[in-house]
Amino acid sequence: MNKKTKTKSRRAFRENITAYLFLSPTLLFYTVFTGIPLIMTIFVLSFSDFSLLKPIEFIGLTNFRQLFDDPDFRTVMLNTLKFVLIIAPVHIIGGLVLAIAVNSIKSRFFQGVYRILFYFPLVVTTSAIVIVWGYLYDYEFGVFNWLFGALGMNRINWLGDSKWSLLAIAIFSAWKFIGNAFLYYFIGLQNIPDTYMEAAKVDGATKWQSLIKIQIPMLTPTIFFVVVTTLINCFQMFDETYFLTKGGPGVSSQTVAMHIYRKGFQEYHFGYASTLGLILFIIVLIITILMFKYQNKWVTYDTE
Amino acid sequence: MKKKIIAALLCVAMTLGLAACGQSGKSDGGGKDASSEDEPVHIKVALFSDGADMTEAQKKVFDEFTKENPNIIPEFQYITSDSYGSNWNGYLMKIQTMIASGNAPDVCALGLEGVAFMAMNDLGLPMNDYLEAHPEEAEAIHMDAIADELKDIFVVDGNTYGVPYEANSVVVHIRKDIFEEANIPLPDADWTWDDFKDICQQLKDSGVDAFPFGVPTNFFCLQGLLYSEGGAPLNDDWTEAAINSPQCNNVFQFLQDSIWEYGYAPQPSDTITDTELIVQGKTAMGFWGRWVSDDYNASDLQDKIFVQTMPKGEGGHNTCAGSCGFVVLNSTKHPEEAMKVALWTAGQTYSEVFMKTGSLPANPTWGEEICANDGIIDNYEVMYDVYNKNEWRRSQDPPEYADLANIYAKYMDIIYANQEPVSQALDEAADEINKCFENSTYRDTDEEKAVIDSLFKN
Amino acid sequence: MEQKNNKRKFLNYRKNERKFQLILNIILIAFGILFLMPFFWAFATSLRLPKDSFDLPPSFFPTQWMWGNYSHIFKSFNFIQFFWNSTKITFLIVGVGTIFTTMAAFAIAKLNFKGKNFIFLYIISGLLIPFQSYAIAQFLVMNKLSLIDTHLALILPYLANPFGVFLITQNMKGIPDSYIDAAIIDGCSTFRVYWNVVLPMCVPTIIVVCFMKFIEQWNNFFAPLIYINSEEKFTLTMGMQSLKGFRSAGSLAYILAGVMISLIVPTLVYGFGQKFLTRGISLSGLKS
Repeated sequence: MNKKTKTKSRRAFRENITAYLFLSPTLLFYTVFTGIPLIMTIFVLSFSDFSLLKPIEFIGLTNFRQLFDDPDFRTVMLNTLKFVLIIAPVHIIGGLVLAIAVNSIKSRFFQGVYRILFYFPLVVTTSAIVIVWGYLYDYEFGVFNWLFGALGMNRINWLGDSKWSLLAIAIFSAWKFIGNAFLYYFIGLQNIPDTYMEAAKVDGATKWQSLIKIQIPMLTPTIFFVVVTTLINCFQMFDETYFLTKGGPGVSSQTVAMHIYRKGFQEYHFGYASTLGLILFIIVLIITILMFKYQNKWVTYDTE
Repeated sequence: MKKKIIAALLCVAMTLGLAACGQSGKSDGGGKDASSEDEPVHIKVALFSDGADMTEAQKKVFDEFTKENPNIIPEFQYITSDSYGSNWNGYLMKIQTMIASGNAPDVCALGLEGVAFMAMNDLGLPMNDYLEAHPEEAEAIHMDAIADELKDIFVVDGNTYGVPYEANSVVVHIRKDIFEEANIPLPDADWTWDDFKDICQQLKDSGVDAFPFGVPTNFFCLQGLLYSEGGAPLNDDWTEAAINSPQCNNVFQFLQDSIWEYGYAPQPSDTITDTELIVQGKTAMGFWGRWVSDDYNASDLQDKIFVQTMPKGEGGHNTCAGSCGFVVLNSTKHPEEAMKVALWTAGQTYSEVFMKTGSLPANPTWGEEICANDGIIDNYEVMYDVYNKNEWRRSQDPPEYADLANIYAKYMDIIYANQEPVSQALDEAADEINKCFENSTYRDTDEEKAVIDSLFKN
Repeated sequence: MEQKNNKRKFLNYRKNERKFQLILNIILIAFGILFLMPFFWAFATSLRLPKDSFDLPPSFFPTQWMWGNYSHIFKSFNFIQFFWNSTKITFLIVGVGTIFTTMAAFAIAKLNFKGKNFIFLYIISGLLIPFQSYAIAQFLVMNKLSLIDTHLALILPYLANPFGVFLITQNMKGIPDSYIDAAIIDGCSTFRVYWNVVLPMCVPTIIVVCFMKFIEQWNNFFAPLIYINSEEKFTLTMGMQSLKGFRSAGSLAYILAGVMISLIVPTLVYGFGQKFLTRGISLSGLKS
């Protein structure tokens, strides 16, 4: 009896060791390059003044006070919010519509073609393809404005006017990244067992009814996942604005992520940039917590 | 117990991992330190370039140097900056990270913008003693022929940090073929801003398929316009903003109106640069130094470009100019050799190879000849006249220049995009500049203020 | 009578369905062509005479065939180096990182250990932290480890892949324990169970994880932007930005030729991976 528990505990002990050995590479790299830096940011760097040439000096809440002094801070926060409000719905809803449409196609061949088409922009190198878009958008020599002119419409100052630059970036972002949401939805739809749809058809449900009553509810876990990841991605948006407008005109399309880069890596204010990072982290954290908290109101998991 | 063991295991794994990382990182740069007396010393020379636009001859320029000094082998290290426009922040940032990670170059090319920053952060190594000890080297590069002011830019608090090899003055570049097509005579040296505006109107009326000019997107160039109107971004002591002065207002107003009222210039974009526009023949005039001749050359624009001094305004024909030099970094392990390399770059061989096209050599002794030979830019003499007649002011670059560069870029962008009236934008810019000086960590003590005071200003 | 009615209903349904399919196909094809427009334009313009590249109207189909633009840009631009750097980094991350990821997922899904829930949450939370929020701190860590301006700085942080751990864990949880018990009774070590039993059953998901990681890392711009200084260490994402340096010198046609060349590798990988893509993911177990 005693011996038995002993071997049992020894086995459990060995399993513990094995498990941590399996986990160790991931834990190691994750802790060193994400965990520790995040803790440093939250507890030390945000309250300090330093740069590569200056040692870390604790300065209390000065960085936070500087947020109010920074003429660009409010603009940058507002821009990020605007991007989230414009781009996230496009990805979340647009991707869903596309996925449902492609999923309704009967022909396997065409389904495959569309899948490849809509996912393709996601695959190509962003920094390369954005050069193309820069020229498409150009005010004087761009393709879009040439098209508009040919159709007798007014030219649009896509990237050089703060009224339009957000939209221009959003269009590019939709084109480039909608494939991501599309693919998740598409897979989710494919995973819905055929029997459900067959049953609905036998019951005489219209396409619309089975969409609303069966497909969408069964897709809610995927939708939830897409919403969470899309929101987080939108909050840390950097590449699109950096490439297309450099945040301009002025700072009218600059995002928080770009502002962190500018303050930290261009103007050498590491402490202040860390504080901005902390703010970004807190916002994303709050949103994620809220999303998870209210998910059971609308997300239905198939508990089998 | 279990927990302890696991914790210990994790610790071991981590330290092992870290040690391995650290080593592999170091071995990258450390291999060369083992040089003993008889082995040649490798000197890393950082350039603000991605190397892509350099010719083979340029990449091999140091072969000549090694011929004279077999025990020293300089090697280029190409470093680019991502930054707004083409200023030096990103480049200097990269240099800093290299210093901090112990992998720094020994010598780095530095524009005048970075001099104060470099000196006040103790990154550079003064050359005074070396110059004194080696008068023959100064003579070999004809240091006397370089304008004193250009050299003074590299002197901070009595310490000389470099000898300039290139010095660019901003002048007006003109597409001769477009002027010919529009039947407009090339301007004289004593032209005024009114003449400039007349020419713009004539170009516009002539029906040529090009804008009269492109607005400067580089703040260095824009300062030339400000100086010619008697304005400047900062006051004379560099302690306060002056960018909202009436003179500056005039200049920015003219530029904004040129885009949005008169149709003289296109709105600049990140996609198509002002250089690209003149190269493609989409603008007839623009404001640059000689550095664009590289682009002219690559596009076979031989003898199609004419340059003229800045039009006369309230500040005369004054324009913006400044020098670049090679600075030896404080962190170098071979200061003597590095100094030798840095000085040599201000000499004839380097200039001839490197500035066949491209920048304006600081030393007119061979610079005039180099410009005459390349045949791309007509009337190149005016670029040196700027120095001879003392019609220039340096660009104003206190140690906070990285912050300033972003402020300038932001408000140029706002004004060019017509997002705000000029006077409002400039007032806001002035506020931001003053706030930046207030929060600056370079102006806390009297000593630091004295260093800023000692910077060359004209 | 009723039967007839039903038949008509059925025929009607078939007819409507066919119409519906046709309209949907037309809409989607139009949409797809719109999606490809930028590529058409870039390809057509990359084959124009350099001096004509700004000329309007734009072309969406090649009117000239200046293949010389391609050889020009290939000769004067360091593509091979950038390609090699990007490929090396991306494949190392994908290869090594995915092994680590499956190991971690296996431990979480199939082994019992103290602190499992905490560890899982700890790793998964990585999905939710924006990189920029701790970029400065990570930069300091890299600096301490002397990793600045080395490719390791671009590789090591990404060897941990929270998203991958999440996906593969979900997949492995679905494998019945009876398989594993059977293997253990046969005398398999835990490692053999992981390698010979569990891994082969997760191949589709692993391919998806590899593919996602590939796309993410092939496009990574921010990390090289802050960590890489020397030109010879540039990744393709950074290298493409210096393509712009060619614009004043040459023209749009050259640049676009460069852009087109840069698309080759991801397109090949995509061509290989895409058919596995939809097979691999099941997000139904997202509850965690």
